[in-house]
Amino acid sequence: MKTSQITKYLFKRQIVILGEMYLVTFAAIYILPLLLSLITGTLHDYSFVQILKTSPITGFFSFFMFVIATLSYENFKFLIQNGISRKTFFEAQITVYGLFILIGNTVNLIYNYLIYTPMTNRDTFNIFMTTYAKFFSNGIITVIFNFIFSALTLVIMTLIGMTIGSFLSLFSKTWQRILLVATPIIGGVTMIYIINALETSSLKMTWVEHFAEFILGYHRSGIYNPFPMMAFMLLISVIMLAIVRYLFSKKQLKRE
Amino acid sequence: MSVLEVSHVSKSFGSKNVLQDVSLTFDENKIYGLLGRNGAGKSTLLNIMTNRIFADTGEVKIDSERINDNDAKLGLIFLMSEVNLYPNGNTLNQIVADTELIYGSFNHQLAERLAKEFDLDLTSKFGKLSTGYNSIFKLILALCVPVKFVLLDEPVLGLDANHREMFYSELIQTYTDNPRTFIISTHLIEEVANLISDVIVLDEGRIMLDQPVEDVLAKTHSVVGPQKDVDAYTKGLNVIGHDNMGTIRVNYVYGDLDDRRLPDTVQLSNFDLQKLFIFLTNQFEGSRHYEN
Repeated sequence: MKTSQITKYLFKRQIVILGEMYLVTFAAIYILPLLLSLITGTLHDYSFVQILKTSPITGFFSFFMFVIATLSYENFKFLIQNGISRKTFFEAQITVYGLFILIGNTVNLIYNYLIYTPMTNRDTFNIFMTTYAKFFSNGIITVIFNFIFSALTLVIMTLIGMTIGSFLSLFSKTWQRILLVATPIIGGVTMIYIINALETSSLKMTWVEHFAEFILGYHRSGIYNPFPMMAFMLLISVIMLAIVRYLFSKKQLKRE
Repeated sequence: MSVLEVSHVSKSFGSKNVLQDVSLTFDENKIYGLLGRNGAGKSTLLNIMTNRIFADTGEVKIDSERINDNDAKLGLIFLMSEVNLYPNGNTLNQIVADTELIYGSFNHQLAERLAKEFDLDLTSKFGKLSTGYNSIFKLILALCVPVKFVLLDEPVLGLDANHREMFYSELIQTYTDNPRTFIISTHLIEEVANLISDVIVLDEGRIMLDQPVEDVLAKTHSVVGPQKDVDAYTKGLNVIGHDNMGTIRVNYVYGDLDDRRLPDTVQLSNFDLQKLFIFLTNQFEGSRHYEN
């Protein structure tokens, strides 16, 4: 199998896209306000630290992974042209995303701990630190589990992107447009209806509340336990990986 | 010797049956012509053979191994078609490098020579190529990758007459230098008739003919003479078409002639592959399909 060659190809191609996304975001968040301040003569109001506090660039990484993960069809076209099976494509793609998550997550946490926190005096830079940091008394253990928790979050965002991208790639461009427009509308309307129905209904959905408390690791003391959530994320990841594998096996060249 | 087998492949798009129980065998080191009218199912067949789309039933094998999820076998086959599967923003050199990375090797010497001959700038971006140069670049790739089966779907689309001639010449040269199997799907039958060793005719999703060209042409007979004599001579034979020129009648026969006596007023000769193809795939008065 040609998994290593395809891993190299996909890594080379997608690291460029990732780099471009970071550059654009960096320019939009940090450089653009500076330029606007210069032009409008309000440089005294520009605060790099303030921007850093409100828009940590590391938070965008999961969004970038989600976006890149939706773009599977373009790579599929080139690979099927060159005799690469869907199985090899899937394995190589998972390897590349795994590498991105490993590297990206490491860089993010180093940046957050060594640059962001000292500059802003804030250590609640991600969901784990906000919710679960108090569970561990040892700082090193906290960092390790922060790494694992953040990685799992990135894995899920990536797999959601792969699922959506692979699912949509099974349809023609016309149907993709219909699905992209109709799904949020139908989803939104359905959600509103359900919420309204629950509010007026006598049916007590206490099991939902209990389930959420369990998954979130809620404790009366206010110290949340991260392990149920991590186990849940791991389970969801495995299920989604199987779904993505199935969707990859169904990819075909579209008649366009 | 490698063998590419298509076994009982059928494919429908919606309610339209595009391929119906197609079975073919392609041997190594031959040049096949895959002929068929528009909508006959040629491109669909080639796409199924390279696993770009799935057949509804049947399978494709190389050396008795299914090609599905099989890099080793898929890597032996390359399809050049009008569909653009390369990133538009990449330069041609970049695409060559990526292709080499995947195949493990690439004939750069041949690629550079062909690019020079066709006046193709390899630093151009793929998305900026004209239709003709798009085809030329893809043809160059097809001739330079280390595969055993090269499938060409309308290879000369958009090429001017000079470039077409150059392509055919290069095809023969590369086939001589590095024998492998070529399967050429084309409408320009006259142009490929002298290149191909075997001919396959696909009509309405079914195989009508699958034989060596020599054998096929040996069975073509145009019977020319006065109508009465020609009709009398060809009575009981497989007449697949006819032409009238005043009082002269030409009956086109496909099949073996028996030992009946040839009248002095009637002449026999062979007719070409294009004419045979037109008659076999046309429905008109006095003709019937020849079932292979």
